[in-house]
Amino acid sequence: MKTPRIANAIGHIDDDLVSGAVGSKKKKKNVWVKWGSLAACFAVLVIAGAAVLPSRLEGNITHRGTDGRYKDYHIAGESAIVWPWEYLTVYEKYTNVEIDGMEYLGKGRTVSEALVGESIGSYAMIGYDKINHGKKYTAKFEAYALKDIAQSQFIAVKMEDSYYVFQSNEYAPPGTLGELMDVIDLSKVVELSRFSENGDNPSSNHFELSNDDYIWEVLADCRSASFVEDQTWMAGDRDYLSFTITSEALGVYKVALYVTEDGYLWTNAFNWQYLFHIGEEAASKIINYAKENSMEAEYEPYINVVVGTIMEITEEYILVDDSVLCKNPADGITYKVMLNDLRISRYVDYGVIQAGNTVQISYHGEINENNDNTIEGAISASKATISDGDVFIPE
Amino acid sequence: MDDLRIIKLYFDRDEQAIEETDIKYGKLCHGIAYNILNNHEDSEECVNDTYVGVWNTIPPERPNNFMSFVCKITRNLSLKRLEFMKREKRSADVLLSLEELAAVLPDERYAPDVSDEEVGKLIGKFLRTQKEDVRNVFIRKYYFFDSIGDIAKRYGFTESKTKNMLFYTRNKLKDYLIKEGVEL
Repeated sequence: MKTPRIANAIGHIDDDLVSGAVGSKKKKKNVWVKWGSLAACFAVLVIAGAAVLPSRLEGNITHRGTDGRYKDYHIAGESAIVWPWEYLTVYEKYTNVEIDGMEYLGKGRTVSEALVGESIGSYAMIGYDKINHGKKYTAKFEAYALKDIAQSQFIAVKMEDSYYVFQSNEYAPPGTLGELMDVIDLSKVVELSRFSENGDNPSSNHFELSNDDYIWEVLADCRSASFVEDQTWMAGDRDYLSFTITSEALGVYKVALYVTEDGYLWTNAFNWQYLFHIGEEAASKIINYAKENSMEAEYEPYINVVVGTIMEITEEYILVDDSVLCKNPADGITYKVMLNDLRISRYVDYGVIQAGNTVQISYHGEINENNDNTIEGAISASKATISDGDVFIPE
Repeated sequence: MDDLRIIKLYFDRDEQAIEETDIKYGKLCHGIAYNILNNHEDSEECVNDTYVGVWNTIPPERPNNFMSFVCKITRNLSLKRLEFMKREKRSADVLLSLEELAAVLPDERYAPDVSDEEVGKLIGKFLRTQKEDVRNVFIRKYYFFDSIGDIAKRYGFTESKTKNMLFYTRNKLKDYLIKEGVEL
């Protein structure tokens, strides 16, 4: 066997590249990024039972199930499927675009036309069919600026009649909060409404703020707040408010923005963590205002999940029965999961899930209790197995 | 012992140089050789040949980066030895890596006027345009021949993410080489 030429050529790369890779290891990254870019192949990880209960049961949630209906269980694992080309959504097929030498990566989320600005031209995008020997596809798409955001940060790309958000892949953090505000009109693209005290988990206190104008006024006075380059920063034992942000224009879903009592503003809304030192005075103004002008609210899980056994698969829907999780199987509920979106229908069409399987279905939105417990917004399915009361999702 | 002092020992023709090299880089070299050859006996011989190679090269050569210098010799010797090994003895992992690389640039029939060294420089130039983790994953795989599992563990990625990363980097590299005139 002869060594391929390129293997020999790689032996000639510069010494610093080689020694750089010798010492390299896992970087401390913003752990929330994974959640922010959940779009394509969805990965869910250890979640306690209460956090994943169907939303129809909200209000009856306890940490160990719903009114004792469920067994004691937890869900763990990960599912990542390499889909054949024809089963990919358009934003999974074409994930990056280069414009004027700058690379933008798709966030996998759509943005309404009302937030889209002028066209910045038509660009070829390349996609690879990973299953079919990396067969290369090229397609042209129209790119657009986004209103209230500089083109250097975010753009929109029109694919199959929807606009998808793309973010510059360059790590170029602003020097100050003011610099960030100059390129992104934060008060217009981010709404600060839901927040919790000291982290967003089922046991935190949750609140809803009806108007965030005052907070943006306070932040507008913090333009000179400096960017803190500290990838290891964590809120830790600090007292802080954790706002949950979903922004169409930024292409983010339920990411976080913290304001800490000791004067830091932290967010993971931009792929990398951004940390500014706004000072204690500004922070306390924001925290006090939010606390005094908000209403208590229910906890909202990051994503809704139902777990159960597939009873039937039709062309339009699948029926999932959750008795397998119940202490008393007679308490089981059957959910009708609509196959109206490629993201869920492909699991059936590609044979990933079949009747009789125990599955975990993730969905956005609500369950329609008045119509056979219908779930319209399902986005992924994973096979699960139950043993000794625990549900494990195999890799 | 720091590298400058080890190199000085080579210049002094002091055999302690080999012992110090072994103490400092023996494990690293053995790792590379084992990744490629998949057995301890051949790897051990390759590492010993590496030391002989270093002894014969320094002086006159005075490497700026001694660690990379040693790694490069081990890698070259291991790949050479692999060519003469029986197929059934070769690791499936390394064969797959070589096949993947062959799809980017198989042999001298392509761009015969460009030397391997020049192609290596182009690859280095390309890698410098990639994000740090993408670059390091590529080098760990195709320079050090680490397994996907080891790379995933090292960088905290899933195995499928690591495979995808490599897949994209190979395709991008191929496009880059074509753009740079290495006709495929």
